[in-house]
Amino acid sequence: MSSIYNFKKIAPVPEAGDFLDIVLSKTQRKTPTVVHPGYKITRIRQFYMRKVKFTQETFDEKLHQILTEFPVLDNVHPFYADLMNVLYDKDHYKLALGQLNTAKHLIDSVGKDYVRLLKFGDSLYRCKQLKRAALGRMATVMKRQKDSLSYLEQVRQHLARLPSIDPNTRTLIVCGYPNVGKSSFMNKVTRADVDVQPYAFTTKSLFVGHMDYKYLRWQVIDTPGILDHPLEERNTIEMQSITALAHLRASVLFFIDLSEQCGYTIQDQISLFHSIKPLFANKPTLLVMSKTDVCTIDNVRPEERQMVEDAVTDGVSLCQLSSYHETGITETRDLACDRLLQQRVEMKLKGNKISGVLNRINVAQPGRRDTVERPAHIPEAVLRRRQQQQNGAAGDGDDDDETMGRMLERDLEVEGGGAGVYNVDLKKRYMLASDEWKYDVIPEIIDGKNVADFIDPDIEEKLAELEREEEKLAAEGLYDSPEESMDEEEERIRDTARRIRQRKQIIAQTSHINDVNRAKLTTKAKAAVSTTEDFSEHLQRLGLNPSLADETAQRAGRKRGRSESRDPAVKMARSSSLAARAVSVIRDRSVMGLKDERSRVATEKSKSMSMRRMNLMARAGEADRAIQSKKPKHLFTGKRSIGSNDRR
Amino acid sequence: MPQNEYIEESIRRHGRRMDHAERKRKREARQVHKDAEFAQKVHGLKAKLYNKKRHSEKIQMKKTLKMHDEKNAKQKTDDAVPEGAVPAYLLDREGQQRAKVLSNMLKQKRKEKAGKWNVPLPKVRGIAEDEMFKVVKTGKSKSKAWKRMVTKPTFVGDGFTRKPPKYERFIRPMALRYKKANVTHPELKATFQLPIIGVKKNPQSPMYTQLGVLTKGTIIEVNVAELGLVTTGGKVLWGKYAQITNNPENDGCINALLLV
Amino acid sequence: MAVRAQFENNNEIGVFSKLTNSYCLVAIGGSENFYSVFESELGDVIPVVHTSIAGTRIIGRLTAGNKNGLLVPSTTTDQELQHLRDSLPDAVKIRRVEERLSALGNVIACNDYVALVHPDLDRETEEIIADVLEVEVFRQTVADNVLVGSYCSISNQGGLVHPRTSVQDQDELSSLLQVPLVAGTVNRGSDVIGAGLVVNDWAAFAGMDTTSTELSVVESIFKLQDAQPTTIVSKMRDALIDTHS
Repeated sequence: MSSIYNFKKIAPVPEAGDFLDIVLSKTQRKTPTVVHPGYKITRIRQFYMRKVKFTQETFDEKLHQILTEFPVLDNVHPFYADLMNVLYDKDHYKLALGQLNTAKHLIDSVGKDYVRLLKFGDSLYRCKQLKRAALGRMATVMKRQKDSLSYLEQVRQHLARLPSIDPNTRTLIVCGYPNVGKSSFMNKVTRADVDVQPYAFTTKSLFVGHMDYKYLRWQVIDTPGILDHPLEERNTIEMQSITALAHLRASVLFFIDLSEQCGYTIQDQISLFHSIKPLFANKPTLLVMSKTDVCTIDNVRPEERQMVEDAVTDGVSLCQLSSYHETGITETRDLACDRLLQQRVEMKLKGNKISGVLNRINVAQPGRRDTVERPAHIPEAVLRRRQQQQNGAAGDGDDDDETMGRMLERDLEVEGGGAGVYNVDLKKRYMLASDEWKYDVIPEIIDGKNVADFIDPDIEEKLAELEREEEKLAAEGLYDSPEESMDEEEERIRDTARRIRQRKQIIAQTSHINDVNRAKLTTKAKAAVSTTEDFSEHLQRLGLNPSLADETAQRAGRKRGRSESRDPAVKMARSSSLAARAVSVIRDRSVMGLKDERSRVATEKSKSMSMRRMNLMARAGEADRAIQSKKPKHLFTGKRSIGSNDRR
Repeated sequence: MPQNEYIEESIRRHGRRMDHAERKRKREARQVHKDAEFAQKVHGLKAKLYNKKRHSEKIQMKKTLKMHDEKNAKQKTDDAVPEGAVPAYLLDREGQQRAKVLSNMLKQKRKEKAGKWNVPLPKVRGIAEDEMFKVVKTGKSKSKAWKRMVTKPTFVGDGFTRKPPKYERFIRPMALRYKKANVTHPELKATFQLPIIGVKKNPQSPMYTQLGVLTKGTIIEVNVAELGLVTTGGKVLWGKYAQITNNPENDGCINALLLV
Repeated sequence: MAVRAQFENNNEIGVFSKLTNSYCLVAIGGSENFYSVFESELGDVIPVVHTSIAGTRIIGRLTAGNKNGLLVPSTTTDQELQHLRDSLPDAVKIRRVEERLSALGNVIACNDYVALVHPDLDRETEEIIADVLEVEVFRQTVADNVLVGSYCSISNQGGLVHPRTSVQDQDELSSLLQVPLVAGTVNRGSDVIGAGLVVNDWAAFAGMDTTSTELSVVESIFKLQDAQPTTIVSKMRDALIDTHS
């Protein structure tokens, strides 16, 4: 569908000289410009290689852009391809683009060769000369494209001015001998405003105009006049008409001037119709007799009339119009459009895309599912207005003044200084009980609370209702306390509970008293010092029988036969009494071999004396934190140009 | 949507604005001042380009002016020499022209006589070996320095096969090898790109000749078969000598003059 | 009466306005042109109200409503709610809805009697819709799209649905809604009907890009200006086939 070709977006093609200036100045701007013989040779080479490569790439890019932007004749719609062939000569066009393509390749190879040569450049002078040679050769190649470039620029300008014809849409083509009233008809049905003059070949190229019919947009193409001679003898102007007729699936309106004011006889015109008839095959064709204000079919000679009627075969309809009197124009247009539309619809119905459209031409009518009436809700005012409009349309239509005269918000805006200045009054149309309230200021926040949270229009009513309910409940005696009814069991439970609570309280209090700033035994230590007696006492205090717990404790604490750790006191006695030991102990090797305490002290002393010097000379080990150099010289010397030396 | 010749159409229908002619005249009158201002302000590369363009325009302009002037200017005629007595200081005026022609003719003759072995570039700059060759270090530790790489363009014949790299003393890089030369025929005043057949003589040294080094002044043999030259005997010539006239290492191409 | 309009160069006017049989909401824009399009058509019949919802202008997508009520999302501020209450007639119930799918306009499509809703809508929200808008609620999809509000536009007289709705779906939806339905586009082929078109029982507003074919389909299906839905089948068939296939 969207086969609209936009040839207006092709970028202008510069002339050969300008092209060079553009590319070379771009190279100058975008590559470094400073190089010295003192630089390392690799750097110099790189500098010039970059220049050569950059120039080559720029040329390449610019030429590539031209080559891609211009339409390829094989890819565009045949209508446009043929039109371009007629207007610009296909061979010439292809040749020009082909030459640019060759130039692009040549420049690429020059760039490649010279970059390779530059790799062997051994001095700045030589590199520079090579660069010069490279750029010079690229420029020569470009200069040879002078003609191609100027030709392409002309083609571009002309392409941009071609009418934008959509080859696939609904189209009417107006054709016929020169000066038979084609352009006048065009001006009547569309707003194209084509030049109409009383001489032949006023229209020298295709013109397109648009019109609306049957909710659709139609394209009308006005063609230059055609003369009746063989195809080879036709000139460029006529060939444009032929191209349009040959390639567009459209409704053809062939104009005939019966009055012969155009300077061609009816016989000539009819013979032209027959000779280009092959172009009308499968197209709805209309034989239109124009200028009926001067001469109609009834006024011509019988043999000519016969000729005209013979031309009307199947698929060709006859109609008459006068652009001067504006008669028959709409009928002609409608007939042409209807026939084309009918043909297009028939064709599309055969296609496979039709299934996607079926639901759009199907209005689903509801079956009644219940008895509920669902009428439309149209206010009285609207109905009244409709009535008035109908009357007004029938009558004079002065009742519209009411709506027209109303001051719209847009008018107010214009009066109030236009968009951006005018501030619309949002409260103007509030529907409140009293108009005075409209501009009342209502606080949004009071006492840190959002007023909106507390808004309830029915609050009074709800409160009243609540109170009524309360009274009712009170009257029913909901709040009367039920009578006492406690039995023995419950009494006992309550008593126990009370005692437990008391006990808990006491414990809490005593622990609170004892707690103050006193070191406490850990739970583990406490457990170690507590005895069985403590435990049984504790149980007794809780009011439980401790006998069972005692028994368990005794059983657990009973001595076993032999192997077990002894009582600490016994252990102590034994270890002090027995010097010789069977078991191994961890011995301190530092004191081994020393006779007694005194010799140990002496050894200690001499050791510390011997290590003293080492400690004095102490060297930092790897694990020690070390600051190797506190003020590294390179960070703290020298003047700074900006006057500060805190960072480098 | 404007289509086809819409600008011209509009002008035709509605005409131009009424002060169009005056505005145009004024704009043209202003243009020279604008150009001058631009010329003074512009600098850098743009200035260079602009001045060059302007320069050539001016030359063209002066030429045209002169051509127009020539209609009116007095022309020197052969019989313009006044009759009768002529002052002494004017005596040799018209003789000078002839004298010059004579000397030119003499020179021409001498030149032709000087022989066929005269070449267009009789003298060449000497090129030392260290400019010609780059030392290539070889060996595992790059300590040996007996290999040489030729840093000038060379011609390497079709049948050349490299020695094994181990024994190869001279390296002639692929990038600097040339097969074709742009040869100018001095009498036809036309240039052809011809394939090189061989290096006849490099005036620098016989070794360079042997290596096929192409420097300025080198005599090369080119294939002139496509020129269709014929000897007086009627044989088709195909090998002819030419002398290289440019510095191939600077230009990236070989320009030579055919020796006829 | 079908009218073309544009909101600040944007053709999706259904995003910036909400039209029902008893009121019309319009976003606050930079100029009053958009508002005045509605005002000149409806001004003397129903209130046309400037408003924002949750500080945004996309009020058409955030709210759902009909003749009986208006549902606004939970993000609506108290001030906006107050403004709406003051501006709309007392007969219109306004309710703030706590709903995860807060773009109510996208998930609810309704006329004065029936509402189609997104299948994932909360049960509570569904009840609120039934109570406030006084409609029957159906969980439905339009052309397999869950955003029923975006892809269709319905009044008490007719409805326009997503162009890819199959004929069976159309019939089903039509029998639920009890109005004639047709598939179509607005804004030169846009399938987001709800965004490009706002309708009530006597007026319709479509985006500026809407073609004349599309606009006449709208006028016919919504019975505007005494047009009848049957026109689509009889008179416009050829035009529709030619443009769309």
